[in-house]
Amino acid sequence: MESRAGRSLTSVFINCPFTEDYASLFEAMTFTVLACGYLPRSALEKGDSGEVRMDKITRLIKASLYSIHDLSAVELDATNHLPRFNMPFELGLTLGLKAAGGDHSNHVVLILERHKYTCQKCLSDISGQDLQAHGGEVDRMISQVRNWLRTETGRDLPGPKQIGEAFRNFRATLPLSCDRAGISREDVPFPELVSMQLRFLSSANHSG
Amino acid sequence: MSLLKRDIIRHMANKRIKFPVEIVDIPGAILTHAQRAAAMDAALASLAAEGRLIRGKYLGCPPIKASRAPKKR
Repeated sequence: MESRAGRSLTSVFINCPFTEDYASLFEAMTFTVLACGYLPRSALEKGDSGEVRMDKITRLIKASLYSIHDLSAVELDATNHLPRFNMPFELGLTLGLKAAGGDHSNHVVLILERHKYTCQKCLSDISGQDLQAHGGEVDRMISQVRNWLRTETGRDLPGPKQIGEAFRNFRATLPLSCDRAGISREDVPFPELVSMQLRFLSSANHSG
Repeated sequence: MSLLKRDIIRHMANKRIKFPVEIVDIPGAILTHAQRAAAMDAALASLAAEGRLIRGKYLGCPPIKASRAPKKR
């Protein structure tokens, strides 16, 4: 399904940390988007290595009707003791495109943070926005992403508990599936992760 | 009408499917559909043989720990 501007009406751009400690939340986010019938898009998608990263991100945002931005990583990291600016930067890029009007004025955004009101302290320009706090918990992440898609699309979607249970089942089978496929569980590329989640959800439709 | 839209309508209409999904090609995926299906089916069969899979539910799913905020000095 594509809009007049060539955007996919089912694509959801994911802007979040790609760190090890965030992996379960990232996987829960992509799984929930897929379980609701939408397609997660990320800068981790395989693409042309010659393409400038900034161009790739802009292209993905423009190609999506929805986007999710997690600003959890504004807190100082343990290694460099510095905040990560990539996520707020990409959020700004998205809001800029939306504000510029035209084909992207109806772009729909979900902004997440770890703890309520953290971003008001470090990014006061965002104080007018309605942010959601996930507290670093997978169940809250699933519920917030699912409920946001439900509200914005008006579609009947699987419930958060149903998605959460399926996600736990997926996580339980993933190491064995990776082992059988001869790939490392710790290093599953984003496109393969999405494909495996999709396959699992499709199988779940036909199981008890 | 696309398969996805048809599935969503079907899902809305009678709840016969749990998730409104369709298998699509994801660019950059490293396994073929057949390889992925075989690996996941083998994993499911293995869990079922161990008695950890009963009617689509997996017993002993490890809890997923909440991610922690980075430690501050």
